[in-house]
Amino acid sequence: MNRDEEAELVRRAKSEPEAFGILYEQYYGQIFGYVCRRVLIWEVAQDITSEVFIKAYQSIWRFRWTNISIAAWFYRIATNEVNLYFRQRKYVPDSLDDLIQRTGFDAPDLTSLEEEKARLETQLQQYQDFIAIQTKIKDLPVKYQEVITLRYFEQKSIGEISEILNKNEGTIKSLLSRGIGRLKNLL
Amino acid sequence: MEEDELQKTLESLKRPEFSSETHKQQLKLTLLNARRTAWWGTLLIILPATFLLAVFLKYGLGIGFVFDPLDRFIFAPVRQSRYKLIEPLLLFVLPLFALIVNVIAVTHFSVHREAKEVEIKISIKRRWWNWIVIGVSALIVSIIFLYVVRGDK
Repeated sequence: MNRDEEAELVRRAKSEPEAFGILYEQYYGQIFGYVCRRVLIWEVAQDITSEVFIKAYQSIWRFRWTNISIAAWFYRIATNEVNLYFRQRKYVPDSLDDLIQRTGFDAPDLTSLEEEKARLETQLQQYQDFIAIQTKIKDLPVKYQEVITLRYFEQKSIGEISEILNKNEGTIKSLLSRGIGRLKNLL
Repeated sequence: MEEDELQKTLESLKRPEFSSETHKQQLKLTLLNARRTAWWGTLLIILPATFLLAVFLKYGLGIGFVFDPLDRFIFAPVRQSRYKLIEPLLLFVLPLFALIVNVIAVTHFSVHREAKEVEIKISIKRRWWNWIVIGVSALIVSIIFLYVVRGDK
């Protein structure tokens, strides 16, 4: 999808659920993967991903298109939710709780979910190096975690990270440099 | 480990790819079908709230530009027709319904039973728009009720 097509889709998504559904299909995988790689806990990743898209759906009407991909906005919400999870002792997905109470959202196919969870945990066993480094990254202040994971695990450019975190590129480079320095001391 | 070496390690690190198709589809289904109860509650109180405001302007401040057209085009024809019950329905029942719907939306009651104890949890949400609708509809219901009870005194 090019930028013009995405701009048109975003405009339609403000009033048409089906258009938002297309954006959801496009970006769910990226966001879920990002959240999973940061928190490394399947249930928490699901809760956070749910929270991201519920909040996005509820506030898409006031999203202003500025020729930056809406992916940056989704990543920003996801980053804020992950940071909230790391800051609080108990992460409470308020929007998800509301949705459950209003609509009875429930996973009818628990077997599938359990299979997916088992697959993920098996898969993680093959990435011990990744887990070791990500565990150390989680000990860094949140401002360094964000930039390091977006740069090296999500393979975002400095410009893209700047759009996601709404900070200028100089700040991003500085945070990356200092973050790498601190991570080196932890390893 | 030097910083350059660490950066190279991070760049070449094999990262896991995750997916959760079941969760993805279930969330999509629920999300796109969710309704917003507060908007319905708001609609149900607009007419009675407008009427009360119009009454206040007319009989409190002597300004009739809202009340006069409302009465001429909506309430007077209804009073004179055989559908007399519509007026109390609009003024009392609808705000009462809006009040109930929005109270349900902001409260949650759950009971959790374990071996030797029962935990009852009542939670109240801070959803300001629902609370505004609750406040206004409670006010309208109270005013109409008091007016009916007091009669023409």
